[in-house]
Amino acid sequence: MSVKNNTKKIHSKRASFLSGTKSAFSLVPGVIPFGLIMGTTTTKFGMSFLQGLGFNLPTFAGASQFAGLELYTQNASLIVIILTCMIINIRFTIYSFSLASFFQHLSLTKRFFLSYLVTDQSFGITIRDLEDKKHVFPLMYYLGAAIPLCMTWHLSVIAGMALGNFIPDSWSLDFSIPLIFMALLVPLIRNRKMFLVALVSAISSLIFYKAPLNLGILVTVMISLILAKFLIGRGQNG
Amino acid sequence: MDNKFWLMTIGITFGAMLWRFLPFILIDKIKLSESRIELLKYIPAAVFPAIIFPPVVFHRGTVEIFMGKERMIVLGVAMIVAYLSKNLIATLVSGILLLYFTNYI
Repeated sequence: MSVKNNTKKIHSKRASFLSGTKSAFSLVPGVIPFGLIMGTTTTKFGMSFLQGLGFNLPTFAGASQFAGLELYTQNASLIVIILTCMIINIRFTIYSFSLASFFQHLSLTKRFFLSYLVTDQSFGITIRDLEDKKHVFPLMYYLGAAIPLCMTWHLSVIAGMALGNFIPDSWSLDFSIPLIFMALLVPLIRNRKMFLVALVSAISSLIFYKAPLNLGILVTVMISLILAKFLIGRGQNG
Repeated sequence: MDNKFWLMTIGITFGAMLWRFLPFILIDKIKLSESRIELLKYIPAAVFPAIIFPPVVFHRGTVEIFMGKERMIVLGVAMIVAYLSKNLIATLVSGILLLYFTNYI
């Protein structure tokens, strides 16, 4: 674990890079299964190896990819799918805003490449370990952490694609998408307000399930976020 | 994979790219307010249940004693596993295995 009060600066680029990689490794066990499932799902979806890569390499946003596949299966309209995925991914803006402050001196082209590597995991450890400004070259730390995480994801997806061919259909893997979202959601419910928002989202999505063009999900998200804004406002006043 | 699928892929890609890259451009000009950041924390609670529940609740299963709603029961168990373990793979594996075994009831 990192020593927070250690003011000794790390001047070596190599040491910063390796320090990032070392931190990233603690998160690898969480990334591999998620990537394996993504790969397996693409195969079960009927995608060839190249099609699977075509779907995974540019998007690189696991939760929204699963949501996209689920809504695609439900025959949702294109605009509903894309908007839902954008709402899921909007959290990236917070990550990027926090990370960008370390890389303001770089050219926009370089910043663009850095932005591709922004994920829940790369953000999580980078923000934790760059906070104390110990690294003279924060970029090297970020690359050291984010590149291995990115590679782990893509390699796990590829491994999952191969694995998908060996899993029989009787295992109902389509059920894995709701299960994954449940596993992602539950630890994020930190207080009663969030629980209430989740409950309203669930009920609303069932009520509006038959809405035309699958607009139900967007209506649900709007209702839930308005409720969240109301609850946050009330919490600040009281 | 039809055209709609690839248009979806392009849409997800550009959406994710926009959210990831825009702050790197705007960093010099804009600062996110505290309440805006707080609201963004509620997004999983607002979006994920709407992805989780409809396909499970409206799924027509085959296990008679559960009236074809075995997925709802398994999801309930998975929710408890997720709460206790906070572990993705434990939740997923227990859910898939449990659903598999409901076929033998």
